[in-house]
Amino acid sequence: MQITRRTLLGVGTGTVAALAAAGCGVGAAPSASTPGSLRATWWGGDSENGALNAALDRYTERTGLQVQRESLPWDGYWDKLATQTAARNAPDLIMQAGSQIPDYADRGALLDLSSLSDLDPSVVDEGLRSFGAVEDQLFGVVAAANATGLVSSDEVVEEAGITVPEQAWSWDELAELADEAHRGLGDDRWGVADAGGDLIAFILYVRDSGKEFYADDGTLNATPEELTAWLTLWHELRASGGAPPPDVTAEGAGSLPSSPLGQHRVAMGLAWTQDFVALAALDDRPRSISLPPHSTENPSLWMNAASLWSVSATSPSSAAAGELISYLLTDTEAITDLGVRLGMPPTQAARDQLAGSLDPAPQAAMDYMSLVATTSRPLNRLWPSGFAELRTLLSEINEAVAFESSSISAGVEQFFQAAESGE
Amino acid sequence: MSLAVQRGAQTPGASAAGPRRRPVARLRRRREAVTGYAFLLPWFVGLVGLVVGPMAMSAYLSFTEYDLFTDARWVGLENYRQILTADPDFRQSLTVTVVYVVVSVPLRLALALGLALLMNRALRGISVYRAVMYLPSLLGGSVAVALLWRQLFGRDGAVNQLLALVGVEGRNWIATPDTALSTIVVLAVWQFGSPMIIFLAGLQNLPPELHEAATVDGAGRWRRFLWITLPLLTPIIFFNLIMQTITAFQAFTPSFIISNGTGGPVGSTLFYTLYLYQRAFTEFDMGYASALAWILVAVIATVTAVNFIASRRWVFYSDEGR
Repeated sequence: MQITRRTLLGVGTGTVAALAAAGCGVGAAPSASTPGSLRATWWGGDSENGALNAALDRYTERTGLQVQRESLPWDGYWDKLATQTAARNAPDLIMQAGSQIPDYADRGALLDLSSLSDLDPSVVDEGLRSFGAVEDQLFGVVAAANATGLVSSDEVVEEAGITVPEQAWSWDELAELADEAHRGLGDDRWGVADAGGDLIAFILYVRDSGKEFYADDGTLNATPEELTAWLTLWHELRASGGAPPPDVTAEGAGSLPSSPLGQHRVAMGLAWTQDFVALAALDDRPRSISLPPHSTENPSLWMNAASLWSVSATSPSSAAAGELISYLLTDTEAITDLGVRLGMPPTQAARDQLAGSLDPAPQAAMDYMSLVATTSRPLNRLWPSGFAELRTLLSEINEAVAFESSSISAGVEQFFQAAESGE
Repeated sequence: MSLAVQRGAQTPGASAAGPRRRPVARLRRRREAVTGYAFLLPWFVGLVGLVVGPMAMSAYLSFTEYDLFTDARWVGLENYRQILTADPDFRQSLTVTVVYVVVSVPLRLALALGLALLMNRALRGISVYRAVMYLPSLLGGSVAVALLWRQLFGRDGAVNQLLALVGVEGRNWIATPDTALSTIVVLAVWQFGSPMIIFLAGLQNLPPELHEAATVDGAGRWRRFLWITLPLLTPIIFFNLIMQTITAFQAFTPSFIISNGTGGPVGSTLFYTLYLYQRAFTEFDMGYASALAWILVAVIATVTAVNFIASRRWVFYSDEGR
């Protein structure tokens, strides 16, 4: 018996040593990026990957710097980035999102970019500069811009016998128009895709009255009355057929091609500019993008950061990462490589360079962005942390209301409770 | 049982004889032990590094607030208190999971047993049928099948097209809260392969004498099944019940894929593990998620224990009677 125990002890010690060694190995391998190499990560599909790979290949050719790349679709991207960051093993160059950057910056995961001499953040549009800033530090430079628009399927609009207004119009007018469209289209096709659960759309609705959605200190400025009116508007639209029934909406959730808008089962729907470009590429049926309901004295739209470039706080080659960001934003060949595949270029120089050389849909998106530039009002502050959760919550609440498993008043209460406890 | 008794009986005798006259043998035994442990080592490294270590870590984390980025902060029982007293999503996900377990496990076992009975025949090419019946289970847990399920039960899916042939108007089964869970249950029941194989093995081990005797006494098929096959099979049923229950509590992939990771519509497919995943990887509440995981362990352990206790009343081990 003694023998056994001693042996076991030996085995145990050996195991611990082996594990420790293995642990070291795993931790050390990726972070020891050789001089002249850099790790970069971004989210996206084939389109984004193709554009960034071309631009990065060119950079390697020119400078000799190897760029190791990691890219994932949006959902998996954040799981992986969070895990890597926790393991102090984040890539040097990181694509960030406006909704996530405060979380990462607060936790000290990102480098203050104003410390990098080779990067001049002032090349991007003034309205976009604040997106990476947290207090007096800069944690991200906008990589691409976007804005929300009203996307319509031209054929369906024509068949429905409606005209999408170009001048200022209200959300009530949108509802009337949607009802009219449904009457023209008959069963199984509807006026407007259900946006009751879309927090961005609700923010537009709130900003229509001239106020901001968030107060400057990050607390909620919107009122329960406004949310009640908003949820009621969409509930009535679903009842009248102006918006599709909840099971149709649920079926297409999370997938643009199978959404009612993607399938031409609605005449109109709210979408980001990059979604408009992606939708246009789905089929040969023409689509247009125009201004959602808005008022001229209180423009509710804003120029938004579709994505930002950040540098990891633990990066051993932050200077090289800064140079790379600068290349992606300002180099004429890189601008050609990227085109509008990440979103609209955030610099005037890039937009001027690309004008005239684009396909119809990206050109329409860029024209729309110019329109937004004249009809928008910058956000008063960045999204506070907790924004991402609130976004999910509103879509859950709208769904529960739509399926009648929750009342509007219960949903409103839930929303404001979560907003208060989240701060 | 019998093996352990034998070993226990041998060891005292051996050690009594050992020290007195055979130091060489003792040395050899020692070498053998070393060799044995050396062979065990790869498994042991895996056990410690991949199972015990992470489990201990998650037990610790369940008492902390940990968001992956900053250091874990000790909060004692706070996570558990919040889960058990103030978390409607916990209740929702537990309800969904329990309904899923209670409905899908018996259905799956019944189907598996029924098919095992059909497959337990000396037909030409029976092994081909067996292989074919097992196929769905090979595909079962995969993402591809869950995606296929989305298509089948969608508004314009094959299920509704079949229903339309007989004049029934279908609906979107997956996007309607009342039916979404049922489609996942159907998917689970369809994956009857592994319990079917185990039932089949059990059926082939039944002593033929009893059946022969019963046939001579004039018992029909149904009576023989009810009074001979089923009682003799209870240990196998029990084993399958335990294994399938544990697996069902941990179901994740189908709900993740079918609901696009949301657990919707309206929480109707919010499985426990999916909720845990959401807390851990979309909200980064790693401490909270660890506590959820340990509560699931406790739930599964309790259900298994209850099953074992109840089994004394219905499981019949034929060797006990001998």
